[in-house]
Amino acid sequence: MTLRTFFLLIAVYAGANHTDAQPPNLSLPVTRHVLANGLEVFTLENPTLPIISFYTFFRTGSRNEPVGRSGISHLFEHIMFNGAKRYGPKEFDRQLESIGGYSNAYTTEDMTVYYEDFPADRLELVIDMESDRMTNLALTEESLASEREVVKEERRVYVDNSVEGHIFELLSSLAFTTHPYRNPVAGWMTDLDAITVEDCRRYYSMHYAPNNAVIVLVGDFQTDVAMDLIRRYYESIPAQAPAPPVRTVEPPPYGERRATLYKYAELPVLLIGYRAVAAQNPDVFTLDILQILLGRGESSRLYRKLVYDEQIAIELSVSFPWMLDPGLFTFYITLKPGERHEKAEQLLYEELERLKNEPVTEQELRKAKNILEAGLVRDLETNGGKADKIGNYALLFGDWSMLTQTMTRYESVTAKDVMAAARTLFSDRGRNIVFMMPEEKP
Amino acid sequence: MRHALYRTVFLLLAVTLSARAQDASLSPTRSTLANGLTVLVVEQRGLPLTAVRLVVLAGSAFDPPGKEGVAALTALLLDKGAGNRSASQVAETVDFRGGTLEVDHTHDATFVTASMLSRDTDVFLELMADMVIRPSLAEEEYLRERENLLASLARTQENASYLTDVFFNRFLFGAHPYGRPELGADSSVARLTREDIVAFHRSWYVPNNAFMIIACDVHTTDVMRTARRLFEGWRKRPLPRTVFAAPPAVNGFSLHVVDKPDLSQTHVRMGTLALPRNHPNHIPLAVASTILGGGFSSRLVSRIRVDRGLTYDIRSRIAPRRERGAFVVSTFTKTETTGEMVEAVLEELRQFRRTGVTEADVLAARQYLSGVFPLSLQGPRALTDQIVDMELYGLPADYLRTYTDRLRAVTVGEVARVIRRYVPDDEAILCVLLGPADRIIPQIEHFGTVRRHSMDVQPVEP
Repeated sequence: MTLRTFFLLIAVYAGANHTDAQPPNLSLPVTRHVLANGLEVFTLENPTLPIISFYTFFRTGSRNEPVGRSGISHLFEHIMFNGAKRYGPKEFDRQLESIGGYSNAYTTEDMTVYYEDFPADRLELVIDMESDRMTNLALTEESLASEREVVKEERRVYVDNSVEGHIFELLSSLAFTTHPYRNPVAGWMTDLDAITVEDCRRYYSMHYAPNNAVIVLVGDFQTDVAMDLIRRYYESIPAQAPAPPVRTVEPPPYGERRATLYKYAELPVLLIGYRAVAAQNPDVFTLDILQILLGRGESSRLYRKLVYDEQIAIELSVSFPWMLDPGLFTFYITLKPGERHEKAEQLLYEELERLKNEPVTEQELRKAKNILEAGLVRDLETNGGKADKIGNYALLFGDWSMLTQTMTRYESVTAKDVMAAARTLFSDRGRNIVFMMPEEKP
Repeated sequence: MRHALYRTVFLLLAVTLSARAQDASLSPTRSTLANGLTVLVVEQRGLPLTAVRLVVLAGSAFDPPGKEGVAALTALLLDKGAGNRSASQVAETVDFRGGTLEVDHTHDATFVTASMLSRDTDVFLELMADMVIRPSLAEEEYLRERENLLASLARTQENASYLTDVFFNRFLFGAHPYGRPELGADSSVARLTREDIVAFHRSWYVPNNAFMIIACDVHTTDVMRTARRLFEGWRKRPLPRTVFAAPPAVNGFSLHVVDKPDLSQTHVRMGTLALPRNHPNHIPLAVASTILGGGFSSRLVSRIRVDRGLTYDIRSRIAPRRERGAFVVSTFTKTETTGEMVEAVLEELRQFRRTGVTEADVLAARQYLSGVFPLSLQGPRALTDQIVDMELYGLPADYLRTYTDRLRAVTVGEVARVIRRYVPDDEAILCVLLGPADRIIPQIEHFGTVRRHSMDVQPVEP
């Protein structure tokens, strides 16, 4: 077992007009523990309110799914609430809610995350229930049959009957020819229908093991007391052979790819994705700055151009999610009725060219850094926000303490770095374009 | 994380409370300026963040008849130039400091919401004062925002869940202004003029019709001094008189189908008129609603989602309003199982009314409601939301501090009484279904007369 304590010092830098102000420091004493079975645990005491957030991260998501079994990670996330050994069907929610707790879970391409927020004096119950389902999950035909229908409803509402869900699904399958990021987290409908209990058993034993998990606790507890409980309930769960690594690497793009989506809708949508870098690439901080400069707030470059000056769009968002393998840097542009994609594309490419050829001003760079740094402080507002960040950093970087360096990394980005990153990222060959064209009603 | 899929969308916790939270946070310092503006300040030490919400008690219920959308458009224009700043300068002020600034509205009120690093508190208060007292409402910005509002209205046609709420409100509230869509309608927005906006602002944006909440890690007296300096010049004016028409009573099984043929699902709302947010029965009814459809262990989720897999999301709620709001069950299901879903919800409602609740049910619901409350107090933004609700709905000043005690006092008898009074069954219920009408109607005809509507809500003969 190892035990190390880090002190996370986050300096909040002020804007250029505040150079005289002292940056406030936030001290977040996070402690890392590793059990003999490989389970990694992070604790952060916060006695402000008598509550605790308990997060469990598994290093598995849609990226880890075998062919023909897309959606099993997310389906599994649901099944995890349907009963184990010490706590049978419906008991997890009944027990937790009757003590004033709240629970939910989410699945991404890279991970599956379970969390509970609850009164601080009920920590042992939550540890008991979470450890029970890590090793004793009941997998039955009935439970699978009912939950399969629930996730199909979820897919219908968020993908099939949603412009945004549908168009992002199409972009991923266009941009990735080889890597499993081409498959949706929700899964393809036919795969959802085909998943068997045996598939679920195999998936559970492969991915739900202490050595494939990270637990993060933030809130009103004493670390030694919490760790005694965690050892008591988790130490006996055996480690398992590591899950097979994802070896597939998406080949470099060989040219622009385009698709059209016809959908019953009112406003046209243009979605463009550029092949970007993985979370562990040091350029992610520069790409975050690019994302802010282009699309965050009404003073951002693209908002000014497309929404305010040219008035061809009603809104837009630019995103760059940090992912284990190289993901996409995307532009989602909601156009006004009747607008076509050509003009929007032309205006967007002009702005991207400008970033490749002219250095951004110090003032603009400062603004982007202020936005990112204030955003990070806001992300840490709640116990759950802190736990989620710590766990995400632990999984994406293999080292949570990258969180301590994030502000410094943003600060060190220069106008030259931004220009260089724009040149690499925004290449015509790595561009994927989906245009959603509203179709007449049936 | 864009692609994250959740186990369910129950992300917004019920607004519920507990005395275990810090007492200081629950007792804001209240001051009223000479012009009638109420300012509530609460200190929250920890992160160097401030949250401010300024609320004007005029939302879309105050749109003059035929001018629906005025409140929406006024809200949209507040940050498009104010005081000496142009729209771009407002945006630059906010973005440069990494802050957030949003304006939104409901039927009851308009909300200016900002969050910022503590050291920028004064800058944002100054900006918000300009926005509500001295918005430019310039012709050019007005035209731009009206176009944007029309495009946003078009886009609401893609949002089935939002549309179902709009139709449910329209059929439930009738001529009462809660029956109007909050964003207005194409026809009314297209006819609006800049003068309508100026008149709406002059009538309703007055300090005696507003309040402001500030949560910060700055000293109360310092932030109050700034607020006083910036807002005391806001001129008090008498308010126009308003009388809202009474909503019609719900009688029998009122069944409406709104045709949206492109969907593969049916969105469902079943409910009736209930009570205003500040009614003393609200707390026992919240306990009842928690047992029926308030969490993962509730009856609706357990029996309709978990046992039968009919939906991904089902819940009951009491819509919070200054006047009477609705008690409503919301869900959706694939089109083929629409009839089965309506029958399943009806059966749960019947059983809920018939057999009532047990001591254990009430205890668990009370525990749940008091337990999740501190979660809604984490950080200055969440805290201002709680205090806004208290002020907006006219709840007692000690509401946050005493809520757990009030909750603890709720008995099985009281819950049974409010269930009989407010929870609907086949005798008096409004049921609105939105989806492909041709495939829905054959599944529900046996329940009674079905009224079919097109998306523009002109009644159409089936």
